[in-house]
Order: sequence, then structure tokens, then C-alpha cells
Amino acid sequence: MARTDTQVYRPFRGTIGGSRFGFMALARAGIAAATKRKLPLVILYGPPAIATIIFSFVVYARFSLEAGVTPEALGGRSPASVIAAGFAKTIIQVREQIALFHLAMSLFTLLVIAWFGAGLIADDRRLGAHLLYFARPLSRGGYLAAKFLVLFFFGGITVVAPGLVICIVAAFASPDFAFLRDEGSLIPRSILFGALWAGAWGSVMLAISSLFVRKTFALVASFAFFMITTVVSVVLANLQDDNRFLMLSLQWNLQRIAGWMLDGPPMENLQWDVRWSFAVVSGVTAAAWGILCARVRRFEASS
Amino acid sequence: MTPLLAARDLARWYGPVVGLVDVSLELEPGVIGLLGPNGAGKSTFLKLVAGEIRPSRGAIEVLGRNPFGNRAHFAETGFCPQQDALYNEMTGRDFVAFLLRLSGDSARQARERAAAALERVGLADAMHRPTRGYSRGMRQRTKIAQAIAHAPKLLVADEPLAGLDPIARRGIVELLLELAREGTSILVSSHVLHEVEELTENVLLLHRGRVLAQGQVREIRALLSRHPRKVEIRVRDARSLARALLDLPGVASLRIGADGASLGVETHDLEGFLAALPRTAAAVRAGIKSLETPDAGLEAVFEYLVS
Amino acid sequence: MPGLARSTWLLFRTQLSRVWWSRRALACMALAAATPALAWLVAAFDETPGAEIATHLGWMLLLQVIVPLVALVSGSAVVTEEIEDRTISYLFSRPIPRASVLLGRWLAALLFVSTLLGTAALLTAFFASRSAARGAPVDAGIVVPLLEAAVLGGAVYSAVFAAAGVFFRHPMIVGLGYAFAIEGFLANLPGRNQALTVQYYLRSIVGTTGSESWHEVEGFELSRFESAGSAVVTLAVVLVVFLAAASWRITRREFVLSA
Repeated sequence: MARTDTQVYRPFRGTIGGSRFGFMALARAGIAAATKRKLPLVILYGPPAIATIIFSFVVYARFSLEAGVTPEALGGRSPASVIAAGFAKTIIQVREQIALFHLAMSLFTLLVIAWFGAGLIADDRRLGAHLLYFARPLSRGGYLAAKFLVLFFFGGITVVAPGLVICIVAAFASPDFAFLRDEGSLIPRSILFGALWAGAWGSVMLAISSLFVRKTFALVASFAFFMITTVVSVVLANLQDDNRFLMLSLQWNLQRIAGWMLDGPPMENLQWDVRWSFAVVSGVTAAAWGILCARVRRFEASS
Repeated sequence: MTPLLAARDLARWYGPVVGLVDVSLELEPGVIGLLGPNGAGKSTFLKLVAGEIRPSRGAIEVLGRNPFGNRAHFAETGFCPQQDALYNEMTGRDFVAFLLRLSGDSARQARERAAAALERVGLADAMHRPTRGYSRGMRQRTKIAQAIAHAPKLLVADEPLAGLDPIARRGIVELLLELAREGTSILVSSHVLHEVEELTENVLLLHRGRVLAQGQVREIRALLSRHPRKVEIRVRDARSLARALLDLPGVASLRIGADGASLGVETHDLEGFLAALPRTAAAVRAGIKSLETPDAGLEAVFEYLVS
Repeated sequence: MPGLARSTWLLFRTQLSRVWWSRRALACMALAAATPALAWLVAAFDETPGAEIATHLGWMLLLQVIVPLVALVSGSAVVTEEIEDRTISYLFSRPIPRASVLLGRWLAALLFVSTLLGTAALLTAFFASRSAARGAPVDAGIVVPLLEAAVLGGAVYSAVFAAAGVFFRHPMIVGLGYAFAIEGFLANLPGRNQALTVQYYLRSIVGTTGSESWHEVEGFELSRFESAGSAVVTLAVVLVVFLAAASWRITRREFVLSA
């Protein structure tokens, strides 16, 4: 029998099927889509890759030179003690250089995250793709998790991979894996720091992307965020003669944490209590997720 | 007399993608329907006519001029683009008046002609509202209003009926017919064949960037005499009628429906077949209920051409 | 048929009424407000002399970051906005010189950018002058060069980025790379490389016509300076060359829009 139903929107009372990790498919698709364009990949990953190769070679050469020291060259001093001291010094130098390398690469990570992250949500909004996603058994949390994983993947490999490669080279180049024995904890610390870096900047970038409908605007906004917070913190630190103003910048806080986590060489400007930096990074990340949740909740209305 | 449009070896490609290739034709003033499936090259052809893009090879002249970047051409042509884009913060009248001022009208003249054009497309009540609040049909009509407001000799309209409801579509078809009666030449594209049939008999069929056919639909159909014409008959006794029809001259094939009550015939001599059918059906007491010739229209012509 | 001047004027006037109420304009206003807001905040501490606040914020934040950013957002939109909104078909199917689309819309952007950046410069100086800390005051030697450099910088950058919109598909990305990678890098290299950047000429205007307080700003002490007159002429030439090149290109270029 025919019937009419004038109620257009009815509350959904059924059960939605599908896996709890269904968002992984969206994340995989996002990574695959991002890797389709080769030129940005070459431009963004080329310099870190070249730097990693050069730096690995330097680390290898450093250990090789130490290993090549002959007793004649020591001029009568106890060979064993001199060689041991040389290796210990080299290991410390390598550790510090790995920390510095991390900081140098962090700017590339920023470029990578800005490039791949700017369009992640903005493009979906512009093309109305999120409506298609939400018509499937994918929650808003799952959607955000998928987008975040894409950024985490690209940002993570830029920060973590070079450090790991250099650590592995150092481990194999050092006699009896001395680097692994003495500085083995640097590897998990590098991974943790990479995760923290990619997580914090990835969250900020996603939040910025959710505020715009065009990738280019999100890209400009991310640069504006980075430049303004960095410059403002430096200017205020100069004007007020107080380096704690540098804590206004996410960048400086992450550098402070990097110095602490990776046991790098001391940086005289960044000498505040590291707990403050963790608090700032957590606060900025929480604010970014707050914006993300609020924006994604309004998606249907704004499409 | 200068033709409306003359193209010689016209080709246009976008990088490796071919938009249009080897188009040589002359079109006389009037209403011309540009037909073809998606990706056939209709929009490319219209953009070349409107002077929005240049040919990659060959040449095109519209009203005797090369259209690209030609200000004299733009003064005599109205272009209604395919994309659904307007200045959203402007009112309909301000939008059309602004474009009229760019065509050389004074401020007062532009306001008056904009109002007249918008009235003509049925937007008299809405012309003072910002276009961002317009429905799809209203936006389409605003696009047409800006294209006709300066009384062009040629109106180039790219899919002007796309996405409209039947009432809005009828309104625009009537408007285009009225413009044609007033002497405006119209080049209009569509991939919906019956839409164009309502507007004109004179068509240009494009497929994969090439011109498949050009001229009156009936003439084109006549040129395709090598293709048999279809006749669909609903009948009480399809088998006995089929046996009788086999003896008629020109019948190429017969197909009896699974229900035994329908008969599909293909014939090379449609007129002779239709003349002989009543007598033959009466002779075998077949009891004809209905009869259709489904391929007399544009759609069938198009199917034949692209198959 | 309207000529270049008339159609440029018509497009300028129409664009001027549109440019203030777009989201882009709001973003630019927010960016421009950053420096005066910070000047007000720092002055409220009463620990830093007004001249120091105005020169540090004026150079490091306003002229080095905000001016290129505001000019990038406004300038790159001059032609690109019409392409992205797919409304350029309406303008290019009118009997007007195509260059007038660039020039008319750029003039509107110029007025917008100049007003915004000029106001930001004046407000920065005003708020800085309210600091009660002892030290050099905010005088004409700080305000006038800051205002000149902000307005002139906005004009040149907006012309460069407007031209980028004609030559490139993604002028914002090109502009970001240019303003912060190339300019940021070259302007701080020693030697004549600096002369390849807009920042160098802005620094010259400020450094040669401004008061001594400017020379305490980071980056000024090691910098070479062009004479102010030569800097202004060079910037004017850059502006004209970029606009002329973009006008030539827009007359010939096709803008293929998707439906």
C-alpha cells in the first residue's frame, strides 16, 4: 500500500556496519593521492635525503678515522686509553650532531607538513568530498584520524627517518656497536621526538586547513602562523630582554624540547624549564584539536 | 553574404588532450544547435567562437573576424558560459549593468538596459537582490541576461538549459526562440538531444572532437538511408503478422517480443512499409494496437552516427 | 568601445567596492592589526622606549613579514580571484583592453593595501609613542620612513604578486616562495646580492632617511644602503616593469576554465 512520508530528516535508528579501523582506508588513500605528484616529493624530500647521505658519510668517516689511529701516531701515550677517549668523544660529537641535524631537518618537516596538510581538509570542503565520506560508516573522529595519519606519515618520515639512518650508520661504524651501547637510547628518543614534532605541527596544520576552502589560503595562513609567532616572540624577547618570550612560538618550544630529549649542545637562548615547553606544545595542540572538532562538526552546514 | 561562422582545419588541444580536431565548416545565421556527448568538444568549439581561447591549428572567423581578443567581435557577441559563476555580492541588476558599462554604455543606459534584460528573462522581481541568494534557474537566467543585454548579433550559449527544472527550461527555450525571431543568431550547445530539437532543426553534431554531421535533422537522416528504420508494433498476433510482413519489399529484419504481442521491424523503405502495413495486418487479422517509429528523432540520428 | 583608461577606471571602481568586504580583506585586516596590537601591548609594560618599540616592530614584523603577506594575499588575487571564481569569462568577453582587468583591479588592491599598511604603520608608531619608558621618542624620523616603506613596499610587492597571478597558475605558492625563501635569504646575505630584493630598498629608505634609532635594529648595522632617491626610483621601475610585463602577458594569454 502506498504511503507518504513528509518527514524528510529522520533520526537514524539502525546500526552502522564496518570496521572500527575503517578510517585507515581513507588514510591510505590520502597517502597514495599525495604521492601521485612526484615533483613536490622530489623538491621536499630531496634536500633531507641528500643531507642524510652526506651526514651519514661524515659519521662513518669520523669513526673510521678514529679506528685508523696507529700506536706510532700516539707518541708514546697509552694507545688503549687514547683510542677509548677518542671514541667516547666521537660518540658524544655524533650524538650532538644528530640532535643538531634533527633541528635543521625540522624546518623541512614544516614545509612537508604545510604542503601536504594545507589541502587535506580545505580541498574536501571545496569539492564537497567530506559529504561522500560521511555518507559511509565513517565517523567524524575517524575522518580526522585519517587526515591526521596522512600528515603524521609524511611529517614523521622527514623527522624520524634521517635520524634513524644516521644512528644505524653510527652503530655499525662504531667498534663493537659502541654507539648502540653508549647512546642506544637516542634511537627511541629520536622516534619519540619525531612523533611529538609531527604530531604538534600536524595538528596545527590540520586546524588551519579546516578554516579554509582553498589549499593556497591554508598554505599562506600556515606560513603566517609560523612567521608571525616566531618573529613576534623574537622581537618581544629582544625588546623586553627576556628570552622566556620565545615560549610564545611553537617552534622555539619544540627546539627546547629537542635539546632536552636528544641531549644536544646547549642553546643559550632556550634555557627555560622544559616543562613549560611541554605545557605550551600541549596547549597549542589541544587548541588545534578544539578548532578541528568544532569545524568538522559544522561540516554539513558549511558545505 | 558573410557567413555567421567559418572554420578551416580548426583544431584545439589542451596539452595531450584533444578538444577539437579538423573542423572545417561554414554556418549561416540562425539558430544552430551544437550537439554531442560529454567530452565531444562542444565547449571547446563555443569558447573558440566566443574568443575565449585560440585555435591550436587552423583558423576561425565569426561574423568575418578572428574572435580571440577582438574587441569588435566582443561588441557584437554575447557569451553565456557554462560555469555557474556570478559576482555573488552584487545584485542581478548591478552585475548586468556593470558588464554593460564595460561594453560602452553610460551609467543610466546600462541601468535601463540591465533592467530590461532581466525583466525579459523573468527576473524583474529579483533583480535588486544579491545573486548569492539566487536559485540555479535564476542564476542561469542572469547569465543569459548579461549575454543578451547589449543586443548582440550572435548569442553563444554553452549548455544554457543544464540543471534547470522543466518550467525554467521552457522559459529559456521560449526566450531563445523569441530572440531568434528578432533576428539574433544563436549558437547553443547541449548533450540532451530533445532540448535542441525544441529550439532548432539546424544542428551540428560533434563527437570526440570531430564534426559528425551538420545541417537539418531530416536532411541528415535522409543521408543515412543505408541505415534501416525501426518500427515497433504492438499487436494481438505477432507471429502471423511477422510471416506476412516478410513478403513486403525493404523489410530487413523482424523481431518478435517474448510476450508474443510485440514486433520490431527494420525496413529500408519506411514510407512503403507504412503504406502496406494496414492492408497486410488486416489480411492476417493481426489486430494492431499501436505503432511507433522510434528512430525518426534526433536521438536515433545521433546513435546511428556514433555507432 | 571603452578605451584602456575608461575600462580601467570602471574596473577599479567596481573592484574597490568589492575588495573591502571579502574574506581576503578580513584576513589582511587581521594581519595588519598584528603590529599595532603588539606595539600597544609592549608599550603598556612601560619598560621599552617608544622609539625602540616602533623601529623593532616596524622593521622585523611590519616591513619584513606583514607587508609581503598582506601584499601577497591582495596582489595575487588581482587576476587569480577572477579565475578561481570563474568569472573572468564575463570580463574577457567584453570589448575592453584585457590589460585594464589587471590594472583596474590592481589599483583597487593598491588602494586597499596602502590604506591598510599605512594605517598599521601610523598606529604602530602611535601606540609605541605611548610608552612611558625613558629613551628616544617616536619622532618624524621614525614615523615618516616607516609609513613610506610600508606603503611603497605594499605597492611593489602587490604589483609583483599581481604579475605572478598572470604568469603562474599558483601565484600564492610562487609568492610565498619568493617573499620568504628568496627575499628572506638574499636580503640577509652579505654583498650586492641584497640589491636583488625589495627588502634591501625598503631598508635603504628607512636607514638613510630615518633617525638613528633605526640603526639599532638587528640587520641594519651590517647592511649596505642605497640612497633613498635611488631606492625609490628602483622600486618604481620594478613596479612598472612587472605591471607592463603582466599587461603584455594578459593580453595574449588564454585562461582556460573548467565548468
